Amino acid sequence: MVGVAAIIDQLSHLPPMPASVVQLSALLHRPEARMDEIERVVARDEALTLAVLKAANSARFGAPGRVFSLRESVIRLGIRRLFRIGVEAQSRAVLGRGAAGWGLERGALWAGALGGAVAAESLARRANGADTDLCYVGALLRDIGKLALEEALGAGYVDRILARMTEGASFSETEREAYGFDHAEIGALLVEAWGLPARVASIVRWHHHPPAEGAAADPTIDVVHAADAVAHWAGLGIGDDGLQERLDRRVRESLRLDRIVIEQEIARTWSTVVELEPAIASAHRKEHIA
Amino acid sequence: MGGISAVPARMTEGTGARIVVGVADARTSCDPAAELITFALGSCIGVTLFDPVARVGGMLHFMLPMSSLNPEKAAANPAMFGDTGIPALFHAVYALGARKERLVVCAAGGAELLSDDGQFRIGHRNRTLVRRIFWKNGVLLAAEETGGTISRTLVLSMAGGRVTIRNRSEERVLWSA
Repeated sequence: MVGVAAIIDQLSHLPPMPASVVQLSALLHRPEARMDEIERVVARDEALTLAVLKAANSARFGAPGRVFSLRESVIRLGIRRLFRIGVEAQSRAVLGRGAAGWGLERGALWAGALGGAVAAESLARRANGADTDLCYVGALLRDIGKLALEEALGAGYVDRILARMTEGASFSETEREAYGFDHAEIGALLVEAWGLPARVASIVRWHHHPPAEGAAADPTIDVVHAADAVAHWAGLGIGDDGLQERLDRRVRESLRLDRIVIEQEIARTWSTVVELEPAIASAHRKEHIA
Repeated sequence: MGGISAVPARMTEGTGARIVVGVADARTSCDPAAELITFALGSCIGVTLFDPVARVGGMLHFMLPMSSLNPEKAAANPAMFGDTGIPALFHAVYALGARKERLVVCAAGGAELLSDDGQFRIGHRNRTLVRRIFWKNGVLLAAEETGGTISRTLVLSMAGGRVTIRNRSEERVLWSA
């Protein structure tokens, strides 16, 4: 039996989370952090600086046509959104190459991540106490464990799980039965190893099985759980594990999701993803061409 | 598709040996060397049309059943919804010389989440829409593989209209002359 620690040890060839993002993550918990301190963290990372300037001057964050300096952008966006922008940039780089062993070719894993994040941002408005930016970040990273498992155990991992699937069991339940862990837990351990906030790791760990009570219960997890289903219904990030996960009834009720709401979220998620990254539609095409 | 009024057909004719049909997308082809392919159908449905005489084919990958959910999005992209995408696909292949009575029509996808306690059933609603729209218009499905919880990749070979479904390493022929 392969142990979790052995898998994490084998992940050295996955790019680490940039130091700037880890530093922003630490600053999230320091309300006294000064703007110039935050700006220095961003300025030391050229890629993050570009991403922040692009975001601050985009229609997405409500300021098309204006040009903001880095200082103005940092003030305008705030620490939580800066963290989110940093994670998004890194996720795109890491997830963009896909996880072929899961049937997620180049572009598909990232499309699923972005689709979940977009859906989570919208669904967060329906949950009392959900943190919108953490919903976004957690949804982006929720399936990072698929990539990690592919790196560590190869494409045969999915074959072995699919061969063990039984009627009514979900994919993640079968993973745990076969290995004692699932891709969500491996993803959470990777997020912890990167030094990101424990709450993000918790979202990743529980996104298929949101706890109803206890210390781990969190409306932010509920939102990401539902967003995962919305992304799949929008045709984003569907791999060889198919649709073999559940949508928790308690979550459906607490988010007041009915058919019309869900179908609107599906349509909106797809449209937003294509609008944010038109390359996803064309990339899907190109990457899949043999 | 006789009784259905035309909707703006934005289906474009694909070129090249492999023409990839994305989500909320449709493509047609007259190239006998080409194959139309759409990846990872989950609850979405893929519809293929092939006229063996005119050697014209088309494929649609729609996401949701009814355009009444968002007429604006449907106008911008009829392929997002079944009730606009299916007629648009038929009109697009007619425009290339296909005839309704010769068309071989297949469908795949419409899977469900393992359990959504019967509240949403997006795959089921998509499947029902396909059956209703074909029944109302006198179209017979030559073959279909729908439902379940799996992901399906759908391929239409323009050489002879063969339709196959791939799921991981397996390939099944859905329809062949």
